[in-house]
Amino acid sequence: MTRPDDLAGAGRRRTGWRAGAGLAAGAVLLAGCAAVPPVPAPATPSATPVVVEPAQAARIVTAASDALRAADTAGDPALLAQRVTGPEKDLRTAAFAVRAKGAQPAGTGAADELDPLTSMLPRQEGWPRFFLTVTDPGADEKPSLVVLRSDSAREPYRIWGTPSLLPGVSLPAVDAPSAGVEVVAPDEDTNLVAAPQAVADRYADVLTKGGASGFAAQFADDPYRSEVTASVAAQTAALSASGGTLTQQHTVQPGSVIAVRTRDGGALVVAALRWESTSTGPAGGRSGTLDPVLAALAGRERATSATVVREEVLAFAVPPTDGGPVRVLAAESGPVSVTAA
Amino acid sequence: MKRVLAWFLLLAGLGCAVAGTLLLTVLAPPRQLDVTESAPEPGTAVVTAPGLLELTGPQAALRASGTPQQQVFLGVARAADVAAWLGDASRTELTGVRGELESPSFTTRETPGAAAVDPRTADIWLASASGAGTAELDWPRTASADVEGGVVALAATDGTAAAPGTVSITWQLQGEQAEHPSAVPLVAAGAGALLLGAVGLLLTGRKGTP
Repeated sequence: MTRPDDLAGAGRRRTGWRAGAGLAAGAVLLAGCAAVPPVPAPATPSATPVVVEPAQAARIVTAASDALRAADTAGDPALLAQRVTGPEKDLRTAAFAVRAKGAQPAGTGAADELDPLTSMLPRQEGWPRFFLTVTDPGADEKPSLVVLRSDSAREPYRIWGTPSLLPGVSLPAVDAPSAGVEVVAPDEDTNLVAAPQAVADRYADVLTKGGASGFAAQFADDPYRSEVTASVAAQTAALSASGGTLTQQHTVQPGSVIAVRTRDGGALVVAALRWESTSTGPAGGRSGTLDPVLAALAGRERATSATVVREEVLAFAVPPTDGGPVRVLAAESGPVSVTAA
Repeated sequence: MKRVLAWFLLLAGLGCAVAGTLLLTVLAPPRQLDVTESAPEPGTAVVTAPGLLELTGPQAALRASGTPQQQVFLGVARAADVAAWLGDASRTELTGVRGELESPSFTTRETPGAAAVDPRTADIWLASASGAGTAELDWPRTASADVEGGVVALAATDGTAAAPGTVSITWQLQGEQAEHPSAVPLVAAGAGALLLGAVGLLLTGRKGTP
């Protein structure tokens, strides 16, 4: 026989079980409420980011160098298009054409070794973009300044120029690759003796007019200018002796000037020049024999007149205001086309 | 009355402990968050929103699948660079994840537009992978921290044809997502209540003994 107390106790125990089960069920139900986390907002950049990260730059240089070596080995200008552009493409295409004709291309001062020692990575948004690498010295024992440019986000970086450092020259110090370097606009002359575009224009004038240029004193003497001056003088003398003439002009290629700020407050400037020289023999005179390299580009061995177009890639150290003359750091130059008659 | 309270504590504690143990074991949240987007017409690219790759966990495992004939490309790049690469190209943007951990899905935004170009020719990629039919890429969260402005992922084929039809991202869950937040407190509270209930029962039992 069941007592009322037993019934009451059983009821309380049932209530307790129900409470425990209820708590357990409620807690288990909570498990189904685990929601996905919200998407975190990315941090606002503290500064303009570098155009490429250092590791990315290394990969790009390797890819571009491999493509350049493959094109050089094959002597095929079509292989240059993917990773080479601008003056470098023109110079290498001309060299391939000379080689194909059995002649030995003239030295241009281009890099013979493309393994990078360090990079200068500009802090810049938008396109076109560029960055620079300094290479190991190769067999020529000269480090080179490799310029890579990308026209748009969809275009790869292509090697645009590889001028080798002139003897005895050292590059101005710039910030570490990871820190990036500030871009100096071609027309910006803040704290500089001259804006990058002006520096290139003035040096072109100096190369064209020699010591007669009004800007000659603004540039320190350099082996490249000496070489150009001596070459022009020798050709002029030879042609004058036979009654011929030589005219020549250096002009800055539009849109070619790039610059980054150096640690001393100056700028490292790179520009491409076009050097056009026309040699004309005496009126009614006999045709002369062209240099084998020029003959290969002209498609003929003899001519009475010839117009040679060379391309030059030059790097300058522009000092801060009152910092002295502009120094030429690196140069690359060679013929790209010859028109002979 | 004290005995009733003791019984209540005992049973409630047992319930909480069992519930907490269940939440830590068989009812524990999934170890990873696996979200897949299958779009019949994704445009020329499927791109993630900034921050999505860092949703949770130490890394995001990306996978894009198309037809076996398609060369599938997966890349991760700075968000601004990918926006410049996309330009006016048609795309599906994975803007976030909604739903529960067990059945999540992407929230998306579709933008009609033109074709792009082969993404493999661009140099904007911080990491990339390519393969016939499928491409996979792991992106560590720490790598995002090194890149200013945030990174996004992009899946495409040749930049002109349709993007891979299926894109999935798997994150290893961490913290509150990997372990239900109430599980440990439930076990602890349950153990405490069990102990109190048992002590209460013992004490009330002794007092009731003649």
